[in-house]
Amino acid sequence: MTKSLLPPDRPQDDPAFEDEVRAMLARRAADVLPTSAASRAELPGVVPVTVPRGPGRDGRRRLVVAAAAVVVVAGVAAYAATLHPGAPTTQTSAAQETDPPIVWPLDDHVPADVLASPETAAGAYLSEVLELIDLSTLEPPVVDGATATVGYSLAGLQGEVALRLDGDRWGVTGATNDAVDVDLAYAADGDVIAQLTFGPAARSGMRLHLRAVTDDGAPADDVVSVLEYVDGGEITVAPPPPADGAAPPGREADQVVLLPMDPSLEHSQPMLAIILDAANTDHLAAVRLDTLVDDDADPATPDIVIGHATRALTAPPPGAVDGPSSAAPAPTTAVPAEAEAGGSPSDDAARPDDALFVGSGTAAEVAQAYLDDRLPERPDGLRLVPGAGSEQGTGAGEIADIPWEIVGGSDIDGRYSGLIRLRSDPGGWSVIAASTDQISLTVRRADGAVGVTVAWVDPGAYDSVDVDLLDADGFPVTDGEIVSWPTAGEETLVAADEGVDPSEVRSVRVRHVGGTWFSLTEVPVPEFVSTSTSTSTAG
Amino acid sequence: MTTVRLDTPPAVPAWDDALVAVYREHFASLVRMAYLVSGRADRAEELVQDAFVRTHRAGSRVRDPLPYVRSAVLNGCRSMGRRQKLERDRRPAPPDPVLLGADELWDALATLTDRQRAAVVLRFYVDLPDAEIAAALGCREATVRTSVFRALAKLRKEIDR
Repeated sequence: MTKSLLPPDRPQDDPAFEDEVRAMLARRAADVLPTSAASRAELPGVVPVTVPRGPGRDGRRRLVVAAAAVVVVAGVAAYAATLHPGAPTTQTSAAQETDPPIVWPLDDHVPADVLASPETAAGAYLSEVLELIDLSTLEPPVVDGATATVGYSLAGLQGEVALRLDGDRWGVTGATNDAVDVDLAYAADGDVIAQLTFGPAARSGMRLHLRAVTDDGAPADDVVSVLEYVDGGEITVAPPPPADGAAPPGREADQVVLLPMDPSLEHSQPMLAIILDAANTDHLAAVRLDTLVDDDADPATPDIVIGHATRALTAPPPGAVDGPSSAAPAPTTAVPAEAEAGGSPSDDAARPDDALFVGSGTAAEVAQAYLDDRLPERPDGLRLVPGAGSEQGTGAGEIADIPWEIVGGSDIDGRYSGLIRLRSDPGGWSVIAASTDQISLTVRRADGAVGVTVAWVDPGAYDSVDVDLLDADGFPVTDGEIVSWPTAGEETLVAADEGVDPSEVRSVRVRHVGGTWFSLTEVPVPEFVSTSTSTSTAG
Repeated sequence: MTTVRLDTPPAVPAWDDALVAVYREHFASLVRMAYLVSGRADRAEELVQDAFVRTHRAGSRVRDPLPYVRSAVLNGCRSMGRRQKLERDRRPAPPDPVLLGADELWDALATLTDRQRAAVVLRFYVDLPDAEIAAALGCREATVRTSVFRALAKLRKEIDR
């Protein structure tokens, strides 16, 4: 280390001024008289948290296994991104360089005159996918060259259809709404993976009906799931009701649920990923999501749809298929035995740009050195899982994942675990990412700023996190001050006007979630390019 | 490697009792703390109530409810502040019209960062030791000292203008 993180001891006291501050606070505090503190006998607004009957043991195992698959996919994607920090992701490059694909109509069943204007095309689409749509709520289209959007109202909530002019016909490229949207959808290894975002109109009791659409525009009845929200924290997984009493064709639909945050939160946040298990994804083109709620006026009536979304399947994120971790060659050459274990974030001139930390020795030894460097005051009980990472690196790019955990006797509550990911480079092992289970972090550079998005999977967590922006030496660029507290799922852009030089920022670390959730998640920041790129890690 | 929690742990009655005790004993002081940190008298009570709800949801994972509730209140203040900041396009929040007055130190408090303001309130109003302030803010004690030092310097500068 070349400089100290520690600020000076408590600065010179000014008791008189401190007393003045103390008096002011006491005076102002007296302005507030809590209205009913004395008379309350019970906690306000606290209701028992209903724990709905979850899936059975097999279902739980499937959830956990499949959730792990999501994490692996995300982790592999993060790894791929860290390997190529300057390369745009598939999503960003595709979105910027090509027209968005049309998801409706995908055949010629719609008369050409209906597709002659965005208004009529949007109306026809909504009429087809939603049984009860009041087309009088359609708003005048907003046309921007060859693209257009048409707003509408459904059960009192706002929705929007996006269209693109293809020749002389308008086609639908997507649909969004204020309840639940599809942020990302892609097919990989026989699964359709959809990442959903909850909007301001999300509410408890929603039922989500997600299905894939084939490349001829027909709903794929064998690739469908129905999820049900209960009390804003739990989801039960119900099989799709067969339309004719027979078992659905094809393989049984499978769902993966990453537990959502409280949907009553005001802001949207990525909270839910669903995997649809498809026998064959080659013929799939898009997903459609309907959000339903009970009809309060008449419980006997079917649920009403309050939101509709659709999105084309895109190419999988980098690394989502055939992850490099499994493809990496096995170590074949040992580091010289006399190499001293240890490392530094900066003492190696050949340090790769995306390395958070480099060192020599075994992967576990370098991971330990990384922990010592980053978290000298780490909690009791934080340790690397014994037995992992005993191999020496060959410099050939092999990957080692060293699990960490906080074991019993810790001075903090909760159970925490994660991974430290290392890569064998010619200069030794490089730490290229650190993750904490249930916390994901996405970082990008764009327009001279650093964008940070944090999300995690814990219904009890708060919507605020502590984030450090670290320089090349692993020190906070703000000398311990936290620039901002990002809210879950919302990107926080840290720019020069916040007292930080974004060009100094080499990595981003999540330290706490909600002030209580321990984290050592850290990822490198991609180098600046004119279009955004991102790296991420998922717990 | 990855754990997905499928259930909310059932509430333990003893733990519920502890939370109720914290509520009865500290609700008023927490509301005042929320007001001092957020500057919003009209939202302080709501912030604290919300913090208790969140703590209750966290269940018995929380060993000591008071620090947890305190952190929840502070986080709620930050989140509200951030939303206000976005909504107002970075314009400073106007002072509470009910409380307008010639209290320049109070006005100066509004110029502090969220962390600085919280640190000042926790030290000089709640009278917490640095270790507990650090726990509440999720930072090191050294950062608390730095925050308070910078906050006091800024307050002095503001009222000397």
